[in-house]
Amino acid sequence: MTDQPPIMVLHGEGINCDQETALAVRTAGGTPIPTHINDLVAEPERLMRCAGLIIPGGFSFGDDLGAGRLLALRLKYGALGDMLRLFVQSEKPILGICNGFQVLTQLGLLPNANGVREVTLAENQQGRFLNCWVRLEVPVQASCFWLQGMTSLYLPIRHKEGRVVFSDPSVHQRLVDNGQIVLRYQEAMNGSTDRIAGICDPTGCILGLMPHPEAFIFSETAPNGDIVQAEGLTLFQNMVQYCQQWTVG
Amino acid sequence: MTCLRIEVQQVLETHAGTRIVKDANLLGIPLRHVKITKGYILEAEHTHSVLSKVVEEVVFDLFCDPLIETYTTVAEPWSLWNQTEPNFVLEVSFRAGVTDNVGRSVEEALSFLGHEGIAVSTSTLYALFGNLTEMQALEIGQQILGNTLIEDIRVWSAGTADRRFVDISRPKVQLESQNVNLLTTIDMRQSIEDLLLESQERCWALNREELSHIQDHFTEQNPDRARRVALGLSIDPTDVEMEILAQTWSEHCKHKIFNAQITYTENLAAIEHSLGDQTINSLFRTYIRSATETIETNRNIDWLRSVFHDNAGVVRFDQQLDVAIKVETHNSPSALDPYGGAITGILGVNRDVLGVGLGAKPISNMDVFCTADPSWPLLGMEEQMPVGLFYPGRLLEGIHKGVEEGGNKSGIPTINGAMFVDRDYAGKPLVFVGTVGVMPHRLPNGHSTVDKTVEIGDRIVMVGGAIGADGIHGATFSSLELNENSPVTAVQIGDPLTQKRMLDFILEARDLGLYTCITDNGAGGLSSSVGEMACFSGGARLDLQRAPTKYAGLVPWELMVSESQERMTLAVPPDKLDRLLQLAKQRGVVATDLGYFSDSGYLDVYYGIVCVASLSLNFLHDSLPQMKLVACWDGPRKRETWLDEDYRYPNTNVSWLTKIHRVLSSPNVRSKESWVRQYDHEVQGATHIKPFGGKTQTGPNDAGVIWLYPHGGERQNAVAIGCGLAPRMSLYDPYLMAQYAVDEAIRNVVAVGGDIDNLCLLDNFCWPDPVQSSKTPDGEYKLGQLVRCCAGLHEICLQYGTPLVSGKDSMKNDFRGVNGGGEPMVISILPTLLVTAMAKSSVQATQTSDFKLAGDLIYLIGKDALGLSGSEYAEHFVIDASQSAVPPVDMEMNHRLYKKMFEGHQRQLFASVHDISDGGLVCALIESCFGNGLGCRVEIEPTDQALFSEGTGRFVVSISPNNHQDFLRLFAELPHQYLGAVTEETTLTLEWDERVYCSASVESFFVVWREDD
Repeated sequence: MTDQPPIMVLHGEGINCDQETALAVRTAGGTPIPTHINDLVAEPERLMRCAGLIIPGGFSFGDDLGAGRLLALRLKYGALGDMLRLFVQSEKPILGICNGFQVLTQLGLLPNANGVREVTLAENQQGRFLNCWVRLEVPVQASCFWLQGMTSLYLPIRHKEGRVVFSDPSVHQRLVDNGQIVLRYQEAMNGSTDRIAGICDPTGCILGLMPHPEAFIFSETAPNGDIVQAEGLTLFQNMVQYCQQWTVG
Repeated sequence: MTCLRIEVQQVLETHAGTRIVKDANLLGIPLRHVKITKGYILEAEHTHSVLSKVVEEVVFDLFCDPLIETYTTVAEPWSLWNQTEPNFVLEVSFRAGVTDNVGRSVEEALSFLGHEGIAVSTSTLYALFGNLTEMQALEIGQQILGNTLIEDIRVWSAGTADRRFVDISRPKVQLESQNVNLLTTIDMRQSIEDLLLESQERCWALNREELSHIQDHFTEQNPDRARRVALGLSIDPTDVEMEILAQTWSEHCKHKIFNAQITYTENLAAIEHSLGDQTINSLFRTYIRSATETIETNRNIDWLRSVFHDNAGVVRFDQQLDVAIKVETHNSPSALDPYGGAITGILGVNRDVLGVGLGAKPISNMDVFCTADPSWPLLGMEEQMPVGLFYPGRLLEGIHKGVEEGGNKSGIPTINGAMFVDRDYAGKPLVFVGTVGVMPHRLPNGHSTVDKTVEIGDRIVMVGGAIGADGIHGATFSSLELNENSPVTAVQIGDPLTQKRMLDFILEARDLGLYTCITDNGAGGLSSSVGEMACFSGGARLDLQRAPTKYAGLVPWELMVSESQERMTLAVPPDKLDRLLQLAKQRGVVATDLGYFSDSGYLDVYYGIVCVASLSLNFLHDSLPQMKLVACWDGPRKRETWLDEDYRYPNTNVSWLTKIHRVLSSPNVRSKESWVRQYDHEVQGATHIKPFGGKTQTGPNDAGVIWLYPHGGERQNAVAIGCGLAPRMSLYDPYLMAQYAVDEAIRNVVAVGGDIDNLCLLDNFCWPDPVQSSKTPDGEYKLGQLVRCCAGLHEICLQYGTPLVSGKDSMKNDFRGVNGGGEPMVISILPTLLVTAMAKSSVQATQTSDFKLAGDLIYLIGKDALGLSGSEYAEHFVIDASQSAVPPVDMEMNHRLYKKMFEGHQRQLFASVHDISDGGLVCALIESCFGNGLGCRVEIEPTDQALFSEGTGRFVVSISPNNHQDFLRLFAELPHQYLGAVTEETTLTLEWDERVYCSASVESFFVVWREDD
């Protein structure tokens, strides 16, 4: 592989942040491999040719049965399901943004990559869609390469179902102890437990977050002129870098 | 067939039910609490036990998230409601044939999981708690939760609700036409009166002249007679032919009024902006197209790529990309079903952009809603409100939700819009929806993307959804006024997922060069899309029997004119057909080869082997005689109003603070933030200026700016998009109304950094019926208003050098019916012109409206404009004779000013820019304080006019002291007035002659301004 690792960016079936996500990967130094879900279902081996996978935001399958639920189904069964599990075992990075995060929880890839659903993203307390920029904190215990070098981030949220709910309080505690809670809203936004905005799996390879890092790759999309550092880009740079290490290793 | 019901309930509490309780209490219904449950009805040929097993297997994958939901398939008593028995259970489900997106998705998901052949429909159940009667429960269903046009509403009282698990049935389409003939012919020898009657019954909306024109054509002397005989057609036209003619000639599609010959007279001695008595041969050609052509020649501009003839206007503001823009209205459908009408509106205008040239990718949406005050009816006003229409609040809520879901689910950011409230929209809301799109100059194969071509033999391929009875007669219906008999089939629900799949597929097929022409199946369905595309090659032959349908029983004319959503028509070279159909299949998009384009000169339509229509393109498109109309103008007339009360306050003995509060909190000025935040305004990662700015994200911006680089454009390039409308000015002179609208739209984009030299405009007219008749005795006057509006538009476009590139008109915006007291009533909308402006800008030289730093200097730029007529202030306070004037528009000065503003932006002289419009100078100042939590101390003469006038061509700017000298040099020749300075202290202080006459905290204004939600 080159030093511009191939990173699969899923698209189709109602995903709608795929193009800016691909641009984010490219800007961060990776090679985006845009792949239609149906093409991946037809040819799951495509996944193994990539060093990383991103499930972008959007309304996959219209979110008609609950956010991310149908895309999760599409990825869960058959040959693609097997391939995805293999991908996870090989500790290649998977990033789920917004709807992608919802998919990862529905798949049971978060919080533990074991197929068990212990966390879900319920409807915001406000009961409606919300688009605004939020200040996010990276807890000191956060242990994953994705947020390395960052203590806080400014990103937009754009969702109706972003309220983190656990099956049991013990799951929450376990995640806290393991450093799997990697992003918190500075202020309560949507009723999310412990103001959680993003979590990773115990290996740190799988990250799901509600805010949109791909929306802040350039300072030109900042919500006001004071902000010059496009903080979303770092996350993609970290992913690309991790993919390179993984490729070499 | 076996049916099974599943109900799923969320365990977590959300605020979803609070709104319902609030609305019910407003209706005087003692509802205390609501629990919402999702319902699914599955139907299959399996036995009950097999179906139950399937459900058990998939329930946690599909229906129920075990972490937050519980479910039941049996009537355990109130199991979902914590064993508490609600007083009533209300179920709202789609009527047969209405698009059920969730049902469709469940069916798809079941088939992923290997369970084919299960049909699914969905519903929402509301457990109502409170001491209510059954009538009240039903009232909640009808007034708040459901729309009986498209939904069934059932109520179960306590004790009987279990029955819903016993008598389960799925709604099925029962088509009336199943019992009638596949094809009928229309007797042309019947009297014109009888034909008119038939036209009315069949919703053709054809008038006397058009029917007699058709009568004259379909005779023994018809030159096509021999051809008809050979095809097996009778001399009389078939119902398919009549429908095609009705759609093609509808006001909606043909714009007959804008193309009419108009005799215009002015019956007024002294008249400002006199046009003189004259005969106008087409308003469109005389005022609209000619403005663009003159500007193009005079200014020698080369960036107009495609204007007026295609589905959208296309301009070249970038070396890589062409930018397309289109704005549409969806008024009538939104009146009948606000959500469905609005979502099909936004998805429809997305398809317009997707259907321009060889297809542009939508990159942003805009929306403007005009309604009556959403808080109406106030207590005691019910008797005066029109019957059979939604109250404004419910209407606005539904419209907003439609636009929200249509945009968000399609992944298109909504970056600009407006809401305008006036009592005369109570009979019909206006819903404007717009889209900007981009396409590369050329395809990978070198073909220019603006050029459409159709070769003889190219296949006619319909892509997207299947055809149903929903959406029949949308075009003709919207060409009629709204009344109680408006057709149910004109109402539809949009399906953003199907459209998103189609959109992705079309852009992929475009880049592969798999088709050479594309258009939207919008109004008029296939009859319009194929009928128009046939003109490229000179004919077409299609077979309706091949068209995919939602259910059996549709007859040919229904297939031909149905406006079922999410469909487009392509012309596909025969050697590309297989590849195209294969790609469609891979992308989960239905694509069907319906026939081919020919050079026969005819549109030939078959149903299998039976020819059901053959119309010469010449007769269809070019034979209709020009309409002849009469228009007059005799100055402003006294406003007729259907509402008794005058809600205005006296102008005297009111404190400045009270006046400011009143104007600031009026629906036209107050914050729209709670609505706007529900739109995704930055998906696609290119929104440079967002609806709200500053550190607090609450400073309202004047226009949206989309950066083109992430879409493949030049690094610094962007487009600024804004809008303007001034409907109340049409009460004085629509000539001025047009100029106010244009100026506001341009001012908005100039405020954020748009370049007036690279700026295009769109015109969207919404008018009450302007054709004189017994029903519209003042038709000539209303047409006179239209003439003046067009003339005013023409003049200001020439003065500013800004070409019009696209537009649309909607002409029958009247309500005829009765009010709550049973008295007959008519409500005509205010004549309304919406102007949309799109200007080239650079992300290096834009600015927002929020004050940035304490100590910055505040200036008023532009000429002080006297007069309060038509202002928001005048809606709330009685104004005296000295204030009664519409501030004149100084176009020459404004034009120079706007050019200078662009220069100022490029030199980065401004710390903030905010245009002055609704609410006047004082509201602009207050709004500028919000974004960064700052205050200001300014010197303004304490008069109503100085504070609240809404004259054109003015801005509030703030400037860093470092730029002060540069600023003064740049604006030396233009009116500018020092007002004061931005302050750290968050207070608005107004002073004059060293005396403070009004001072209050910015926070207190913010509370007033921010809508209560």
